[in-house]
Amino acid sequence: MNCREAKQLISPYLDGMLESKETLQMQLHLDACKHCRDDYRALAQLSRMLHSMGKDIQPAPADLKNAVMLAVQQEAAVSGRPGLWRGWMQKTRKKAIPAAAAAVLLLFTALNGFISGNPALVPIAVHEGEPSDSVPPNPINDAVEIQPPPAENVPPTSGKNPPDVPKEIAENEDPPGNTSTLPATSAPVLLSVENRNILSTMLIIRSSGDQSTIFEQVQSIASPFGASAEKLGQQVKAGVSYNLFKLVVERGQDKALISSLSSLGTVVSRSDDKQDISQAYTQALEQFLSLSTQRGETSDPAKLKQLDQQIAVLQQQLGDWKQKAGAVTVVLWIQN
Amino acid sequence: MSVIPVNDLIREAKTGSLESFEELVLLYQDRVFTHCVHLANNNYDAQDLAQDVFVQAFKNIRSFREEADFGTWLHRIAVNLWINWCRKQKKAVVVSLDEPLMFGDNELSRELAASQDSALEILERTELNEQVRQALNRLHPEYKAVLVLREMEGYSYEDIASLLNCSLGTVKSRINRARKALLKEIKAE
Repeated sequence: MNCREAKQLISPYLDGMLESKETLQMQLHLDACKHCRDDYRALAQLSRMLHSMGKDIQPAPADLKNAVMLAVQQEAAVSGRPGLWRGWMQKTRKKAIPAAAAAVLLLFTALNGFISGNPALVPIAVHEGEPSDSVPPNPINDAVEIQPPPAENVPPTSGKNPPDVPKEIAENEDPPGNTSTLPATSAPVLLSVENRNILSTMLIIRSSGDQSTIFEQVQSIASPFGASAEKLGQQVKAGVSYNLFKLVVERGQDKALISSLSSLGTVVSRSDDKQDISQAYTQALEQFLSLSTQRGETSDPAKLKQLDQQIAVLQQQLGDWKQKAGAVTVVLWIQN
Repeated sequence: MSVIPVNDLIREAKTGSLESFEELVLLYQDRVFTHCVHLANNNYDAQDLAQDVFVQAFKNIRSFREEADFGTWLHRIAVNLWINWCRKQKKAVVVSLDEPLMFGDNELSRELAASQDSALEILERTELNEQVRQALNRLHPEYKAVLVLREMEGYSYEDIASLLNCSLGTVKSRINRARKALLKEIKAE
């Protein structure tokens, strides 16, 4: 066997895919040829490295299942599989969680290395369109007790509620939406192209002020900007205790609000996140329009009722996105 | 978690039961997501890809043969979706599938020897995972796919041939080229 032949067979040899005769020939060649032997060892080491990189199973994001089932439900509706999606909706229980909590878990983990030891200021990291590769998919095990879905995958909630109020999907016979009286020409909630993303910012501040009145201080800063503020609780990470707050402010006011919050102490870190919901929004809108067309073409009461229910679900989702996209969530970590 | 056997869940899902399909999603989502992370190299795209995998599975579940492995079938969907997505994105291909390996004049050995360090020495010094991951991500999608399936997922050559709908000979050749392309990418970093 010469080097040319050996190089063609080196990979299947590594995987034990050669016939006995070829295996023996390869072994003899590798014993005699340093270059091929080095090539083989390099491939073997590469194989081991790749294997070790792939051996751990990563938990799927907490919201993946719901996102899948929402998409599947819409697919079932479009493909004309009547009735099944209602069974799923009746049995689904999920609290609609503030969208900010996703930012808390993901962004905090991205900054975990910083929090654990390095108090230096870090550059603002702005994520355009997709989170950093350093953000792991796993929620922090010891984070505050909130399980948020990303905004685009939130199961439908009542559009009348503010986005930060947890809600349970009611165990009603019919899904939300007064379906029998839904106008045939109900228009979808529209979101402009430039607003099809959900913004959030995480701010970590080392405060030198009075911690006992910190929430009141946060509220007094938030109020002039029309921002809501709520306590999320306390969190200890790497031996450092933080008070967590969530503020929701209208787009356009966020920069000024964040700037004002900086007066609470020294800004240790800031991370901005932009979650692009364009694709999900477009798909939902197409589904909505398709169902509306079907509704206009049928006079069967049962079919009408079913379509109205499906349209109502989509309308709620579109409305929910519009509400979230119109606001910016700021999660504040104030170090005690 | 459901204690219903997987085949029963599949059978029920084939009749249109979303509840059963949801159980399947719960059972396989970690494995599918991990596979998608290996392919897409970032969690954001991986989540999108994983979602698409399950939606495709839902649409085509009636064609799934129950004697096959459901997880492998999902992986097949993932690889095909990802390769198609790469093609549509006109993902930059650093190494062409058609680029001949330089066997004829033993140029590969000469090239390695010409550098100050052999590929082996470079690998030994190389900082692990991240550099390999970045190099893997620069490969042609079909090279990356076979390496993910073989090295990370542990599929046999025969399974990979079935997953990619190609011959065993093609799999052997592609894995060989893919590994060498990856080594070359690592060396170039």
